[in-house]
Amino acid sequence: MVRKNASTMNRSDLIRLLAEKNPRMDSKTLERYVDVVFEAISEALVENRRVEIRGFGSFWTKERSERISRNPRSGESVFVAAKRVPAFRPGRQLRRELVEAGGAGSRRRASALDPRDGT
Amino acid sequence: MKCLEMGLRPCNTTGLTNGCTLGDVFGGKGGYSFMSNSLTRKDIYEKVREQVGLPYAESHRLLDQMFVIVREGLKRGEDIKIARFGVFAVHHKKARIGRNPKTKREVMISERYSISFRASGLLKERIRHANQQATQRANQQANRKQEP
Repeated sequence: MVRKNASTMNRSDLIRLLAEKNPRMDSKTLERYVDVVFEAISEALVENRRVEIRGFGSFWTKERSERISRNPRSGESVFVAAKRVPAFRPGRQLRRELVEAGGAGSRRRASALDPRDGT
Repeated sequence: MKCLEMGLRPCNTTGLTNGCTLGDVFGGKGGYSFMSNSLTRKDIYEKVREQVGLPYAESHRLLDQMFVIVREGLKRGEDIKIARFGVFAVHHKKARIGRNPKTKREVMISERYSISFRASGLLKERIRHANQQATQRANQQANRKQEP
């Protein structure tokens, strides 16, 4: 059952869990490993490349055109330059797993299938 | 700076000449073809081999395990917070009535969970900054071409 805000898993929790699965490996190495992976993804996004992790999802950057925004407090108009922002979309497998995890304990389960899958 | 100097894949693999600059990459339309290449697992393994010294096979196993851990966490409803990278959070979406845009038929869309990713301020800033620099360089180059 998916619960909202059950808790947070942070970088060190992730490294600890990875270390539990790999008792023979040095945790310092695993720490460096996790950092290198996320740094590689970040660098690719900085270089305007797309990143796809099969089964998990993909990362890319979206273009935001320039616009005139307003400071909500003062009502002042502010020019916001065009920029790129990072985006993520979960992969099919992850979406399916979430539906299953969410459906398992919930009473209202009209359909366990994700209509976006077209299945 | 040339793509090869940046340690990227040579442009000619995607049909551009090898001498294209960052300005070409971000500036003109279609000029960034080699940049929009996906980062593949192999690229990640290569970086790991260089920087951590683990062989590909090990990298492959760890990457799978890592994302299984993240997925398991998300399924338990946990937020996954990676410092300097961003946060993955699970969002509950209520059931609603949708419409098939093609057939106009109403369909029930069941309640679902989706994942949102919020990039850290640092990552957003890095992307914005890299993009700005590239645009500036492209503009400078365009101006230089016009002058003489």
